[in-house]
Amino acid sequence: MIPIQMEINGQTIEMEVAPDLSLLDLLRAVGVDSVKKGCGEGDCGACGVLLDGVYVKSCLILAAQASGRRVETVESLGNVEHPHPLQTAFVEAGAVQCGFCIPSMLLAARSVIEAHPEPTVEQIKEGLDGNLCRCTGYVKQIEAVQTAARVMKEEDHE
Amino acid sequence: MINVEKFVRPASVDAAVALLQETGSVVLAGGTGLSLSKDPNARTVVDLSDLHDLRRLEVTGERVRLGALVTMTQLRHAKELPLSLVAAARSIGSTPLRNVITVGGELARGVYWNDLPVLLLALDAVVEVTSAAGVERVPVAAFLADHPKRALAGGKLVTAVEFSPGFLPMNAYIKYARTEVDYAICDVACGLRVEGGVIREARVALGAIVPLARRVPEAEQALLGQPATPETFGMAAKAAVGAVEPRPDFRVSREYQRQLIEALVRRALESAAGPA
Ligand SMILES: Cc1cc2nc3c(=O)[nH]c(=O)nc-3n(C[C@H](O)[C@H](O)[C@H](O)COP(=O)(O)OP(=O)(O)OC[C@H]3O[C@@H](n4cnc5c(N)ncnc54)[C@H](O)[C@@H]3O)c2cc1C
Ligand code: FES
Ligand code: FES
Repeated sequence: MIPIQMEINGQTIEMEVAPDLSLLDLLRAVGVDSVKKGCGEGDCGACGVLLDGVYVKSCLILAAQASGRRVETVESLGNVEHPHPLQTAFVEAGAVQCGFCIPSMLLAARSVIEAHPEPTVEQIKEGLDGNLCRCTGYVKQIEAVQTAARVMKEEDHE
Repeated sequence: MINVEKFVRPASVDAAVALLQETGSVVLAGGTGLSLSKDPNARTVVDLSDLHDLRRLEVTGERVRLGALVTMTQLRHAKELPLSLVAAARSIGSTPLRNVITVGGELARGVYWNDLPVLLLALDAVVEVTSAAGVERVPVAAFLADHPKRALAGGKLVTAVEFSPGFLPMNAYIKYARTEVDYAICDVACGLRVEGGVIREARVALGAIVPLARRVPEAEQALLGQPATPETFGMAAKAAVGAVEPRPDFRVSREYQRQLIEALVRRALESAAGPA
């Protein structure tokens, strides 16, 4: 077993993990189940998290590798009472159907807006290219990211 | 990773190389290949993430130096690199993968779908390999020739890759895949130096359609000393088809693979030479 410690959504945890435990399985084991296991091998993108602020696939990161680092999942964005502009935009655009892909889609979208405050459709497509959605067909999601980017810019000016 | 007992993050390249002398030590870079490994012999993971110097991308005068931990995302957004290199980095996986996949991992992994080595062959890049005995500089072609595992045997580390953009100033990269995020069916990269309309240096490299990225000397020979014209490029493309036995690939037939090699080598050369 390998001793690790990390910050998950602002809370520090310390524990011992098996050397082959993925960050994804660790997160789900400690109750962060917004992070989904679709494929477990880097294809689907349902397991996306921010690791020290960088958008990655948590099924391909070993828990021990993430030791000493900061992990953020969709819980760090907002909640029902205080949704993030991206969450509001996704709901209003009809960009959510079954919802399985959405927690990590939102994190990918946040990274796009961080890099490009006024993202073009091409930039959004590239930023979301690691996230499969089997329901929506992506069009509404692209619209939602553009709407959220506009809202966030206006909020910045207020 | 089932039998791993220790995770270590050395603070220097020397310390990393010392750790790699122990049997059962494995290097961890981006982890996109290693994290799912079932290698029962791996005992110690040598995690490179504290070697911040290896994240540096340096362009100094004649030389470009990419540290082994430079990610595909860094290359994709770099402003001072050949466009063919940016295109090759962009073609790899998807954003969250590019955010972690490293130059060193692309070279060391040694699988048919590694795209970056194909382009590095066309730029005549040199791999900097560091071991307890010191630093060696190995041309990419030699590094790959016998499989990277052999080039790195005995606990060696890829620390950087370097090339001179001016040596083969006309270059191009094409990845042919079913979707933007799929593994390549065929990669082609080429690099040319043309003086007074005559080709003086040529590199033609293939990937994915062969077991491991390699140069195609027969195509390069067909270019040297010839005028940089569509006819020459067509001849070189035919030479490439004759020289290469495509890897069996359930997605495409042998006949289709041969046509792909010809069409893509020709297009890559035309694109490198630019509008006539
Ligand atoms: C779903 C998916 C799709 C992908 N698609 C593509 C694609 O289209 N094109 C493509 O090119 N790649 C693709 N990849 C990435 C590719 O398969 C490898 O995983 C990647 O090249 C490894 O890089 P890494 O930095 O993650 O290395 P790691 O996984 O950390 O290491 C890979 C191997 O290299 C060794 N190693 C790493 N760095 C060094 C070093 N500096 N010195 C010595 N040895 C080292 C490790 O010990 C290990 O054996 C994809 C990966 C996934 C999971
Ligand atoms: S679970 Fe599918 S990419 Fe990680
Ligand atoms: S909403 Fe169902 S997978 Fe995306």
